[in-house]
Amino acid sequence: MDIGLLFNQVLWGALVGVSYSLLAMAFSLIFATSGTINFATGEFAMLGAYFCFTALSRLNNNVLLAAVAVVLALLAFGMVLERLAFRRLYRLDPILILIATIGIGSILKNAVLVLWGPYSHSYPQLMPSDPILLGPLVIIPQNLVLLAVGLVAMVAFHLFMTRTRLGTAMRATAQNIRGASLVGIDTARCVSLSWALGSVMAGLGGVLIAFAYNISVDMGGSLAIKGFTGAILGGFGSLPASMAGGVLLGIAENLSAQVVSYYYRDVLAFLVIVVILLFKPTGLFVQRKKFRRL
Amino acid sequence: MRSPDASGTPRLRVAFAAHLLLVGALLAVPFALRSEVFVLRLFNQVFLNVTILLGFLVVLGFAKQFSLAQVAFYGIGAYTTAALTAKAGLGFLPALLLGGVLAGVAGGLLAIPAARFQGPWLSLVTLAFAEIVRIMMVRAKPVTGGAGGFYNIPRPTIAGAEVTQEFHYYFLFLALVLFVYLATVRLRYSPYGRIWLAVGDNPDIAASMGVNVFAHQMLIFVVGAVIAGLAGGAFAAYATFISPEGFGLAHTVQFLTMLVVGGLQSIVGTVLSVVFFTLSSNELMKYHPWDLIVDGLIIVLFMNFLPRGLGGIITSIGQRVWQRRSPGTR
Repeated sequence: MDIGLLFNQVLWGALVGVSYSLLAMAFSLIFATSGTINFATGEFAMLGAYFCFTALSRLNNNVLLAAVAVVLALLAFGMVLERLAFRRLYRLDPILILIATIGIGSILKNAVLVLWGPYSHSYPQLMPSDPILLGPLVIIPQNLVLLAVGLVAMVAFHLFMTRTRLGTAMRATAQNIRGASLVGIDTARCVSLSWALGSVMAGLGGVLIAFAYNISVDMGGSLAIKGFTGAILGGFGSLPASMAGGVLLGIAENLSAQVVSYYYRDVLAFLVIVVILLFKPTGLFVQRKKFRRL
Repeated sequence: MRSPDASGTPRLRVAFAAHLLLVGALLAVPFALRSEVFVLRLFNQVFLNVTILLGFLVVLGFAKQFSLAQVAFYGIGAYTTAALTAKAGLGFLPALLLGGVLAGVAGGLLAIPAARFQGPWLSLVTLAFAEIVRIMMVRAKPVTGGAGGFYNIPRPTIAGAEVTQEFHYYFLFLALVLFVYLATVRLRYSPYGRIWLAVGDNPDIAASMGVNVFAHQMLIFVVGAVIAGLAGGAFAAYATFISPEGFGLAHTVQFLTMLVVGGLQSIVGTVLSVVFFTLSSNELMKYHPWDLIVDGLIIVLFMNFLPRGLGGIITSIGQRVWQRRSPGTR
């Protein structure tokens, strides 16, 4: 394999991997505050991608306006959903919350099918598609911008969680909800916010993958599996580790598709889940002693 | 069915009589409705779905092992039976049994890694397994027919008699569902069933009481998988066509809906819920994909407002009636 092809595979893998990372972070965030794996995360991502598709076409491809509209819509969606469907469930067995997320996933997927129809769409080309040639390297500018957007979003989110009062309150809620409410943190608001931010993270992941491939009603399922594989690979519950796990999975997946076979690419994710959970359940980037939520 | 408290005995007598009546009525149905193929088909769907759901109930309900792999075992049973009858020329009954056995072996093997996990993690690992099985169904084309599906599965022949008519299948499925139902009820009230409930409620306490939790988790997976595999084999011989699409997550959602509405732990609740959904889905299916939206809404609403499902309602009504009749027994 020549160096140019290898480089492009890694770059493409990183772009796809960043969107896995965003989903991985959404999984970790909601898991940390609500104690459940959100099986609807893939559908959140799909919803984000469809929102963005509609926003772009209605706003004449005005990227900034569309971005603001999509983020606001996803924040509102996450909060309303948490209020309506999940707030009564936290006192129950976490498994029951998980069943409810499976139900939500089914609703979202089929609602999108009703509202947007069964056909897959592709996003408009927003930048000139001429590749930049750097010696043996071929770079498509739009992919580079998307990669940067994803990375900036993740870093911004990390800074929000670690450097602001609200982020610190959310981390406290995730670590010990009773303790957090004892020191005066509005934990209900923090949990609600975690669903809202989780929706934004997942939705942004969906938008990125939609630019890379296209959007369809079925995109959520496999994307969600890649997302939580990334989270497990890095370290579930830790945001930076989830981030790294997603990118690593994206790159590994693309390289393995080159080496083994495109068709068995999806099996790789499942094998990673099982192997990691068996041999290093805290993930690659989290030490056993330091394993904690967020 | 043994009950720990003596006050249960008259209740059991009522239950026994009710069961006898129900079985008698079910045996009489095809003689009365022999020409009503549509009605018999509904009955057959109910029988099959009850069988599948009893498998879910054992694994997810009793033992709270939140496995999402039941549909995969259902598929393994279906494909095994199909391949053995169509390609190896085996008779239906041995093929069905082998389908159940193979599903059970797969269940036992899955339990080795899966039983190390609890709650959401178990769901993840089992979902991963189910997806691998589904991908294999698509890829292993020489055996499974690939994404296009497995056509022309022979209709069963039992002791020289060919099963072709809807009411033939009726008796076959009735026998299957009664067998699985009785086995489930027996297991539920046997020492095993109590251990499984304990393992589901709190594995640590169960272990401290001397229960080998891992061995029992493995057994639960095997029992659940065998039930699913038998149901799958029966389905394959009934539908004569199966495809990987029939064994995906969408079906898990449908079965979960029935389980949740039944109340996760109640045999009677589950059976009632299956009957309701099988009959209503025949209508709702025409409005696809609205039927799946309704399924999802039902799951969310039940979790929010009736987490104990129909089974919970039945139990509380039963307790109230019984308490009024015999005060002081509680």
